[in-house]
Amino acid sequence: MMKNGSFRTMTVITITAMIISLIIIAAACILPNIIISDLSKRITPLLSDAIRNVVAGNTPASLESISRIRAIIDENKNIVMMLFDHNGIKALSYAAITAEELARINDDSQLLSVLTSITSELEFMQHSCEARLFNLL
Amino acid sequence: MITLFVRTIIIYLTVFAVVRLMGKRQISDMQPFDLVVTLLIADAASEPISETSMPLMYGIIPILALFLLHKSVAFLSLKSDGIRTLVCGKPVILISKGIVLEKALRATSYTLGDLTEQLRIKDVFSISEVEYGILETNGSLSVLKKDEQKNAQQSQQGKGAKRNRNRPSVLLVADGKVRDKALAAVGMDADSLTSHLKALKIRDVSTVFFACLDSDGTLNIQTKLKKGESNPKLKSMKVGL
Repeated sequence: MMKNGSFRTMTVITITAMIISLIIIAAACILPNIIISDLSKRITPLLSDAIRNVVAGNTPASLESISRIRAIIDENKNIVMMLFDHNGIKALSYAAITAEELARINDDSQLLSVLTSITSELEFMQHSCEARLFNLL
Repeated sequence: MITLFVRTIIIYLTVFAVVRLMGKRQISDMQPFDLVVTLLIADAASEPISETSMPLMYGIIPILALFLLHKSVAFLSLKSDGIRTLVCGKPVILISKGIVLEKALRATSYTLGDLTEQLRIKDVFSISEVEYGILETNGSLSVLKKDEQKNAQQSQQGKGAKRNRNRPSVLLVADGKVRDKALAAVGMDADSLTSHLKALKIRDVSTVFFACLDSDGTLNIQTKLKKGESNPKLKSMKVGL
């Protein structure tokens, strides 16, 4: 049989659990947007740089930017995997590796398409965590 | 495989904690609303266990959100009759004084077959044996048999009771709030209730946890616990209506 003290303890535990739940939910609503925006802010200038170099026919120069993109993606992989569909970050990571290899062998046309796919994947991930009507429906 | 195993443990612990905190109820005691929430939690938990490309958060966040919403609705239901009615519905009298109320039966989509089956489960094999049959909000049928009612009346007469009333007990005050419709149903008004409370040295109705009027005319009142109090006080008096 539960005594009055036990009821009080149960109430305290329940309220604490509710507060913790609220904090976790709030964090899960705010964090993905912050993380992906930060990732996007760091990667987008490097991507533009790499695309500009490839278009200018200076593919070896784009290699440095692509390597930095790959490093940034690897660095943030774990936190992104915690909050986003794993397939999205895996696709980004594979695209960065492929882009690096293509830059090494100077395959410009393939490289451009892979770099564009990184941009669109990043945009997709960013849009997916925004509270917009078409995301809610 | 180790990933699947660890993910299962994490989800199991989360669901265990949430179900435990949501209150211990058997499936048969659940309101339909509780059952739906439980099924939703089970569904939210199942996918991230087997789908390793899905973050665990995709399962944990909906479970926590359902827990929060369920607790909030439960709290609001405790505080407001309207919300309780909205969420749980109201008990419906299906049989009154041995007569099946057809309209109530149709409104609750209860067939005569269901009714007789529920009565048989309660060891009642004829509708005429029933004084009152009430369909509770969790779907179970409460039955007051005629002979039980008669026995109760006889015992009251033996004790010299002045009145016999053929009805179940009525909740007049719940959590400090007077239920006007219930008062009107027993032929009382707020003033007479206040005078009864005063007779029991209760000055403010907001200090009453519940007050219910039994079929023998006994008004039972339990006051709310004050700070530091551990034993609730139950007061009774005979009411002449």
